[in-house]
Formats: sequence, structure tokens, C-alpha cells
Amino acid sequence: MSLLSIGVSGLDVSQTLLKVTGNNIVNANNPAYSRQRADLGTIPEQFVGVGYLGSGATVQDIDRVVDQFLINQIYLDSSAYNNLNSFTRNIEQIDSLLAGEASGLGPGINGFFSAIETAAQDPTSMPARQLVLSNSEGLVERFNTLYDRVLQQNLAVNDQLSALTDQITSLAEGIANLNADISEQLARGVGSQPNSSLDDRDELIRKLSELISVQVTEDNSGMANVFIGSGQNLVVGTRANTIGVEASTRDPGDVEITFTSMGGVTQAITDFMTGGKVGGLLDFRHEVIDLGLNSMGRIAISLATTINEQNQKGVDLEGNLGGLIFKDISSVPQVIPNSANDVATPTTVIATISDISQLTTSDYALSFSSATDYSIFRESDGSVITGTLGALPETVTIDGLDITISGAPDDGDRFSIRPTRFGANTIAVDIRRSQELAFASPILTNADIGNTGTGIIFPGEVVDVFNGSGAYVAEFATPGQLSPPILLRFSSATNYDVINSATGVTIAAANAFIPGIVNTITFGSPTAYQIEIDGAPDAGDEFTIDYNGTGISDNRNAVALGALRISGELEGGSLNFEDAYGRLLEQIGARTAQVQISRDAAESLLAQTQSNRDSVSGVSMEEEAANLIQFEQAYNASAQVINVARQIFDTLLSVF
Amino acid sequence: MRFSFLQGFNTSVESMLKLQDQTYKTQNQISTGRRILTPADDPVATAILIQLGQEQSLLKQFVANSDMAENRLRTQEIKIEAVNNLLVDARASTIQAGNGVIGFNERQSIAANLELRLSELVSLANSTNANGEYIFSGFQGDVKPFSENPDGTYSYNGDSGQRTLTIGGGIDIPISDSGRAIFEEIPASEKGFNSSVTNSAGAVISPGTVTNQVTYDANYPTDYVITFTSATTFDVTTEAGAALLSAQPYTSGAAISINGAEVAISGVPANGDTFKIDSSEKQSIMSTLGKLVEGLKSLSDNPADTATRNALIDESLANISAAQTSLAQVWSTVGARMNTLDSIRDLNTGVQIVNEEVTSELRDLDYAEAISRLSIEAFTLEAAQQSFTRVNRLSLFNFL
Repeated sequence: MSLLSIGVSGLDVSQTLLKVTGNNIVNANNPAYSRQRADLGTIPEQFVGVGYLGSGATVQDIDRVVDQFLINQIYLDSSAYNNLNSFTRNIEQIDSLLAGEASGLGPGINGFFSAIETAAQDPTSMPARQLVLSNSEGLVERFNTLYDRVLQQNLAVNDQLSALTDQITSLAEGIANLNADISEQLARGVGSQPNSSLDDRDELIRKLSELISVQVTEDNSGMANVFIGSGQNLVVGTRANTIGVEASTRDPGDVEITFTSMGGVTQAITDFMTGGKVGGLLDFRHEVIDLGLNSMGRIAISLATTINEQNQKGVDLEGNLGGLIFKDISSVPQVIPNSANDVATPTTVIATISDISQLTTSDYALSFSSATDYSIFRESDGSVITGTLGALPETVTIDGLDITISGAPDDGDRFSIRPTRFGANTIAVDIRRSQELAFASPILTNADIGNTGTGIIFPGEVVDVFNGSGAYVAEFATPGQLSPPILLRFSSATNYDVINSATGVTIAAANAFIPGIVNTITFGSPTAYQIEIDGAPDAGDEFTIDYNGTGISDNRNAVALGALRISGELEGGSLNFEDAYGRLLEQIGARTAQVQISRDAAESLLAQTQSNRDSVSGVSMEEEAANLIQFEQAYNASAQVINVARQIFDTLLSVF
Repeated sequence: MRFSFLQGFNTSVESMLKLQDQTYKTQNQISTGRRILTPADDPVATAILIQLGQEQSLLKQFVANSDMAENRLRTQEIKIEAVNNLLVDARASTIQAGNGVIGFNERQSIAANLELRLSELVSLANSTNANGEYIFSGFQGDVKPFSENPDGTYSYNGDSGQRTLTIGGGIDIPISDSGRAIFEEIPASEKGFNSSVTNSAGAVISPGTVTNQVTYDANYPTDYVITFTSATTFDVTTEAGAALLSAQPYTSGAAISINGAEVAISGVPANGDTFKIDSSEKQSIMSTLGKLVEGLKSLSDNPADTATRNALIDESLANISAAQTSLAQVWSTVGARMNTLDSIRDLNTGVQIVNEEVTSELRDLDYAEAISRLSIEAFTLEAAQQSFTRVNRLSLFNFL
């Protein structure tokens, strides 16, 4: 081997080194680019009698400098960050929406009750009554608008899910194509790494990890297999599977994520999707949209129902018993049969709200494991109630909800029950004329002026104007009168007769009375109303109970309507409407604050990992500048070697 | 550690963005004056703020209700005071009428004065408030509480309902008293009765008088019922059902005497019509004055009439005193309500102020802290920007 060829090998090596350096410099701005290094070697030495003599330098391979651990770490961190980030971005919108002075429910509820309380000051004032009506409209509008806005966000989430799954599919195809290229290049390059294709594939997988959690394994032929969810093989070698969306069987308004395998079999995999933007959106949809709509729905239903019940216990300005202020929405619970249910023997499930104070914000899933065995799953806490049906139709009561099952349940039939979801959408004002606001109480008590004892009668209280089947109780069945009007006559200090004051017929004689304490006397079965008499009436003393048809200045029922604001109608009587809304704000606010912190942490974690990766694989300009100098000098030196070889040759020639 | 080209830019830009975000948020806090911009900034304080807001709105309503209640009570008080003055005057006139020196003609002018007083009393009892609602008719705000009967007596048409307003958590204060409580339920010096039609379309019953107090008192407090058994005959029973008179012939306007009480039924009664005589030891101010005027007008100076008149004047004086006492009771109740109202309102206003302070503490920004924070953030951001440009100017390539 000649000195000349040794020098030439040095020139070759230096030139390659300079090219690699140049390539590094020009790619420095590409975040996906991993810096490359030429792997130097020596040309095999030759035995020259006295020993082995080196034959020059050579470039063995050009490698990219990567740390596979850091690349995998980026996938993980990127998934986690994007998951939290998309959740945070969405919940922040809800957070501001609910708390806004202009958009939130708080000012609406406040305005409604303030109007009632103001009207109670002066029950005959038409402007004050009109204000109650316009504030009811305002409140309903707020409920409806908030519902729409939250629903819009749900629709946006569904749209995004559809777009994101398309991206996942096209990324998967890209990865599969690169797998094919890489495997071919590896074969052609006899073991040399196709650096930029590998960089490209890493970048595609990183982009995929922004959308969904991924697990990546590399097989012997250098192809990356990508798994998502609970082991669904998104990319296997050179084949990619399809991720898409379809309308949910559980909730027709929502979309489910589907996985279509090579064989063309499609399955829903929504519940297995975690991490990335897709995971964040699914979490948001499940956690926040449901909580928001259900909480508002529960407030709407309970407010409408309790206000209506109270108004019906009163008398309006025209002397009639009160009607509905809001439309009756106690039958709003939606039951959605799963589309996979057996339709040959249909099962009918109807849910109605029977007890506002027991109502929760949860959704429920009813499923049958046989024709008679059912289980009800409460989604908020995951608790399950199981039971066996008797003769159908049968009504099962859970959390203030009457679930009536009829038809023929089959093993595997499933129903989603959403008691409160649509409350904020369906609430509507029913009352049209302000005269119909029932501010007075229908009963009027009176002590006879001829009474000689010290007995006093209190104004009395209406307990219920409806019987179990929704018709007026007998006492209030005839419009404009109490049936019968009552005369209580004391036959002695401790006994009184109940007499129909219109006919003089004694209804119940010689009822016991305890002088000196408050005696509560109830009327009707079920109890329609009750009155209280205190003190010590004498024999012959009389008290009357009549219908209060003309008491236009009576504000007793208006005061009772106003009192509903603070009395607490929810959660067994511990939570009033405004508190319930406050609790929703607190829940959403606390969750927002928590995910913001987690998101920031995930963001710095990702930045740290990215920085670590850049530290290993990124191009350093200082280093490359130094390399330029170094390799240029090496090139110059190799050229000098050739020069010396020429001089030696010249010297030898000149001898002759 | 190895520091790559991209790393240098990424790290610097990222930290500058973070600083900018912080600065923007502080700036936003300063421009709104709020520490909490969204519930997420402080979820617990947000929940407390909602509760405070609810309480504030309630308190505001309570204070407004207190003002309204005070208004109503003051109006009522003025009327009560006027009635009291009127009674003082009527009492003086009554005493004057009892003076044996004055004769029939002077008594006529006293009677005329008392008659005026009576109509003044009725117009006071029929007072309305600013909305045109009658003050003393209980719940029946559009029903004139006192109306004159054909025989010159007055009937109460309202009910005993008492209007109330909520002026504090669980505190309802009455803002009205019924005409019955003020003008009617006054203990009478002698036991009497109220007559009423239970059901009759064609006949009316006179208020009547007690003609024999001893007999009447002996049977007190029995109530009586007059039932027509045909268009021309009637029975009288006690309310408990014991028969007193049976198949009495009916003459329109003729006196019917029952155990010392005397009433007259006039008109066309039908079979089954019933009338009630309800014993009572109460007499309205209107009746007291009405009976007095009637007596002064009709009783002459002969000895029998003089004795009756003196008895009437004594009774009237006693009844006017009773009315004054009863009125004073109502008056003091109204005063007590106003006192309660004042103290509750003061309490509510006090709580309002405390709540405002707490709200401000929770929600509002500490400007001193925020502004110094802003200057630190702005300074840091500026420093980051300057150092970024300086550090990135350093490169080996500059020396090649």
C-alpha cells in the first residue's frame, strides 16, 4: 500500500466528515433531525515482513446519534401533556361560561326570587307580578342558553374526535409506509441505518403520541409495530388499521371511537382510549359535559317542580287555585334502549322523577342478566343495585326515580337512564298572565266575634291540593270554594265539633282538645290542609275555615314561594338551588385548577425530556464549527501526505 | 451537558412565553381589580362568594321589606292616632251630654257633632294606602271594610287576615291589623249579640238590642237560631238545638223577643231561611257611637228617658274607654313591631357591610402586591429578552 493511497484515503475520509458536518449544519433547524456522526475505521493493515503496516483510513458507517429511551419517553410525555392540555382548554371554556355574570345561572336564580320577594311586598301590584313573569322568562332563557352552549361544546368535541381519528389513521399509514421503506433500505444498505427515514418514522410516531397513547415495539426487520388502547395493533409491519368514529349505541348524540382490523371487523374501543388529545376529549366529554348538563338539569327540574307545587297550593288574583308557573318537567328523564337490545320481544322502560330531594346528578345504566334479574349501575360512584322482577310491569325506585319496566326483558338488554340531562333544555315558562301567580293562600280562618274564651286560630297551611292520582282533593275539588266550609264549635273546654258551616251538618263530634297548647287539626284524607288553635276556648266558642277567594292582599303563598330560595330542596333538603349551582362551579373550578397544574407539570416534563433529547441528538453549532476547522485541517494534512509522496517520488526520479 | 442549537432557542422562547403569560394575567387582574378571574383561580373562594352573593341579595331584600313594612306600619299608626284623638273628643262630648244642666236642644247639637265624628271614624276605618288597597280589611284589599246598613249600623266586610312581610331569616312581621281587631273586638260593658242572616234571599234581620239585660245575661252565652218553617211561621232554637219558640207567626218588621234580646226580621222570608243571633261581649266603636247618637236624639227630658239616657251615657263612656284601651294595645303592638323592625334592619345592614368586606377580601385584588408583582415580572421578562439576544449572538462561526 503506497503512501499516496494512504493520503487519498485520508482525503476521502475528511471530505465525508466535512459533508456530514455540512449536513448537520443545514439540518440544525429541523426538530426531528438527529445529528449524524461518521464512524471512522482503518483500512486493514498488511504484513510487510517487519510487521503490520496500516493502509489508511476509511468511513465505516454514518450513524445518527439517538437515545431510544429518550425517544420513547417523549412519546409518553407528549401523550400525557396533550391529554391534559386538550382537557384543560375545554374545561376552561366551561369554567368561564358558568361563572360569567352575563351567562351564568346565579344571577338568573337571584333575579327570579328577588322578583317574587318584591311582589310579596305588594301582592296586588301588577307591575311587580309582571316582573316575576319576565324574570321567569329570563331564568328559563339562561338555562336554555347554558344548555345550548355546553351542548355546542359537546358537538365540537365529537367533531374533533372525528378529525383526530382521521389523523390517527393517516399517521398510521405513514408509519406503515416508512416501515416498508426502512426494511428495504436496511436490506439494500447491508446493515447501514437509513437515518433520515428513521428520523421521519420517529417523528410520525411522536405526532401520533400527541393524539393517543402508543406502545411501540421494533421487530427484527427494523419495522416498528404500534399498539394503542388495550393492545389494538394500529400498525403491524407494513399494514395499518383504521380508526374511525360511529354514532354511539349508548347515546345517539355522541360518537364512539371504532377500530377496523385488516379483516374488516369493526369494534368500538372508546372505553380503552387513553392519553393524547383523544383521551383528553373523551375524559372531558364523560366528566365535565355530563356533570355540567346533569347539575344544571337537576336545578332546573327541582326549581320548576317545587315552584309549581307551591304555586298550586295558592290562590291567584282571580280567586282560583294556582296552576303551573313552569312547564311540568318531572317526566323529562330520558331512557335510551341500547341499539343492540332484542327487538323481537321489546322491553319498555319509563322513568319519572318522584322525589326531588333524592335526585342525584348521576346517569344510570339498567341491564338485564335474565328475564327477571336486573342490575342498575350508578355511574357517579360505580355502585350497583341488583334485584329480581316480579310480575310486570314493575316499578323500581332508586334515588328519587321511579323506573317502570314492562314488556319482556331479555338477557343482555341494556338501557341508559339520564334523569336530569335534559332538564336545562326542557324547562319552559307555562304561565301567561301575571294574574295567575298564586300569591294568596286558599284557606281563611276566623275566630267568631262572640267567642268568650282565649282561644286563637292561626292562618293555617295547605298541605296538598292533589291526591295520589293527580286530581284535586275533595276539599278543593269545587272551584272557588272549600268543600266543605268548616265551623269548629267547642262543646266544652276540651271538646269541639267539626260542622259543615254551609249545611249545619256535624261531620265529627266531640273531638278532644287540649287547652293551653297548640292543637293541630288536619282536614281531608290525604291531608289537604291543617290549622292550629292555641289558648283556651270556652264552650260555645266558634272558629270558621273558609275559602279565601277574594283575599287579594294576602301574600302568604308569595312569602312561601320566596322561602323556597333558601329552604333547600335538594339532597335530602340540605342544598338549595343557588348552593347547588355554587357546588357545580366549585367542582368545575377545582377540576380546572387541578388540571391546569397537572398540565403545567406535564408541559415542563415534556420540555425537559425534549431538551434531554435535543441535548443528545440536536445539532450544536459550536461543535460543528469546531469540526469544520478540525476536518478542514485533516483534509489539508492528508493533502500534504500526497505532496510528500510526490516529493519522495520526484527525489527518487532525480537520482537517475 | 451538551447544548444543542435548537435547545438554546426552545428553552429561551418557552421561558419567555411563560413569563409573558404571567405578566398578562397580572395585568388583567390589575385592569379588572379582581383577584379571581375564573372559578379555577380559587374554587373554594368562588363557592363562598356565591353563598355571600346569595346572602347579600337576601339581606338587600330584607332591608327593602323592612322599609316597606315601616311605611305600612307608619301609615297605620297615623290612622290609629287619628282614631284615638277622635275618641278623646267623643268622650268629652259624651261627658258634656251627661251634664244634667243642658237640655234636649243642646243635646241635639252634641248628637250632631258625635254623628260627624262617627262618619269621620268610618272614613278612617275605610282608609286606603298608596295603591288604593284598604288598610283595615284583612286580606280583602279591594273590599271596603265598613259599610252602613239601612238601619244605620255598620258591618265589617273584611276578614281577620293579617298581612306579613319577611324582614329576616325566618322573621315575618305583621304589617296590618284587621278592622275587626281594631274597631270591632272591643269588650262591651254589657253583654250583647250580633245578628246575621245565615241563608235567606228575601229577608234581612236588624242588629237588634238587649231589652232585658238581666234575662239576657242569665242565658249568656247561648246563641239562638231563627228558622222559618214556612213563609209565614218560624221557630226559635238555641244553636245546640233546644227548642224555645215554635210556629211563631211572622210579620215583617215586628220585634221578635228571645230571652231579653230583641231583633226584627223584615222582607220576604222563604221556608228554610235561617238567621242567627250570636251572643257576644264585644261591641264595635261604631255601634257604641251609633247607639249613643240614637239615644241622644230620641230620649227626651222626662224622668224615665233621663234614667235610660244616663245609663246609656255611662255605658257609652265605659265602652269608649274600652275602645281607647283596646286601641292603645294595637298602637303599642305597632310600635313594638317598628322597634323589632328597626333592630332587625340595623342587624341586616350590619351583616351586609361585613359581607361586603369579606367579599372584597376574597374577590378583590391587593393592588400594592399586584403592582409590585407586575414590576418584578416585567423586569424578569425584559432581562430574559435582553439575555436571549446577547447569548445568541455568541457563535464560533463569527470567528471563522
